[in-house]
Amino acid sequence: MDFQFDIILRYLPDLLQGVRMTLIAFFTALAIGLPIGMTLCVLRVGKSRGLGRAAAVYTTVFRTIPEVVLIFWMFYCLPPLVGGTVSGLWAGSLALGLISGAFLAEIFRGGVQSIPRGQWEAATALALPRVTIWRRIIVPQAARLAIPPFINHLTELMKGTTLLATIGVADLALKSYVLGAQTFRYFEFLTAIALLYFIIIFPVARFAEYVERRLAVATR
Amino acid sequence: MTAASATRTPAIRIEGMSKWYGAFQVLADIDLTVMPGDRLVVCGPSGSGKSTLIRCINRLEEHQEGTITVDGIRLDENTRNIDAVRKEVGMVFQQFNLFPHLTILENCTLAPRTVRRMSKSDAEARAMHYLHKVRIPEQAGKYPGQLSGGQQQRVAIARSLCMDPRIMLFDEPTSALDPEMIKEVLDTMTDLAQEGMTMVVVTHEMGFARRVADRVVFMDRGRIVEQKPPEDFFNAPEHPRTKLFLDQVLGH
Ligand SMILES: Nc1ncnc2c1ncn2[C@@H]1O[C@H](COP(=O)(O)OP(=O)(O)O)[C@@H](O)[C@H]1O
Ligand SMILES: [Mg+2]
Repeated sequence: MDFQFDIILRYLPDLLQGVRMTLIAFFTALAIGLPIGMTLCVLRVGKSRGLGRAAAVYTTVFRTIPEVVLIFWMFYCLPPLVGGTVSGLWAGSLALGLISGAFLAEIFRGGVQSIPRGQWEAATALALPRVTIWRRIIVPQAARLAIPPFINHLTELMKGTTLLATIGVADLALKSYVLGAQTFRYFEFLTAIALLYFIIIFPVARFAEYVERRLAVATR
Repeated sequence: MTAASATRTPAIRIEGMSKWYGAFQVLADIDLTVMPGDRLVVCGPSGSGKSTLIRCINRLEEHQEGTITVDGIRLDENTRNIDAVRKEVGMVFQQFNLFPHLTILENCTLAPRTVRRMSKSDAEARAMHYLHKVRIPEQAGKYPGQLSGGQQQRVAIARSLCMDPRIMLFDEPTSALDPEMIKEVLDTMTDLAQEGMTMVVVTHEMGFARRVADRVVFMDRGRIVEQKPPEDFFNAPEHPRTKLFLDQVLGH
């Protein structure tokens, strides 16, 4: 098998367009998932039973629906419902974001609930406002525990963006596949895409290790 | 109580207070008055409701019946009242509950800065003042995990004092400590008592009760069974349960 490196170089601008799409989908989904995850976490830990229950239902539902199903639903069923058009990028990112929110909520909650009750009590007894307790006492301690699974989730989310290819979003995965078909050089392009994903995700994973080490030093 | 005390506002006044956990009544018909400067020791068997009682005083727990008034402020659903009370009432826990990710100094300045809106330098000056007082100013830059249990508990006391509370609550402050560290914490509390702090102390340290308390309250099964100055409490307990408890604690 002869690996024609120059064909990848020739189509590199196309591939980088795909990278751009992948990153846009990733950050859009994250921008949707993060606030949802934080809100759900606060609701589940908070005092209101009703809100806590509602948050739990959301979490269960969106952790159960397969990503592809929700992506299809957002792409094919949402536009008629809202009476407009929804681009594949938006529909796909929204689906991934909604699901990501459910996973993030569980990751954050795991961190928050591992903090001893005494921390809440001491802070409450000092008359600290709720917001300060979250910001200065709970989040910094919960983060130490939640950051490894959080970064792990980010890599999963990045991989999940490849599913947007199924609704025609010209992300890196679809771009490579199409280029492979056009040029009959599947081997080159599919190898290139694997490499490109590695190049994108590897630094994220390394960053996770770095943060983990920094946090370990900062406390104790 | 003296005649003069009747005209002053009590630091804590509890009347006909009851509390339930579900169907289980943990506190029954509690009446208790603490005047400014009083040093109350609360004792009683494990599970008798001592922690629950003092945690009601700063609303870490809600009561269902009766009234609790702290420094003239009624504790009810009103969150402004609850906040006002918590600003005046410091609490020291059995497990210290220092914030492990903050330095000793930061532990002491966080509440004064956010709640009392003090400047950083004022809050730090006050923190150092109280860290001197509990005799560990040299530890200010360390993290709680680097300190011994006794040192951590003294920091916890300093952290509370930084809010300038009028009342201090202690829930078995020496129960989690190794024996050789108990004294340093009790000494700190004794200093505080001598300066006139109003204190409610749940403890089994009967030596401390004898020396420092002006009243000892004995609880059993959610009720206040007996309430006396220490000499009478130790020398002439009335209730059979008090006698039994004292026999066990003092090892008669
Ligand atoms: N959150 C709770 N839910 C149900 N029961 C509780 C709770 N907290 C305490 N109790 C019960 O209330 C009783 C009094 O507890 P506590 O005030 O901690 O006693 P003490 O401090 O005197 O040992 C115990 O029987 C305990 O099991
Ligand atoms: Mg207790």
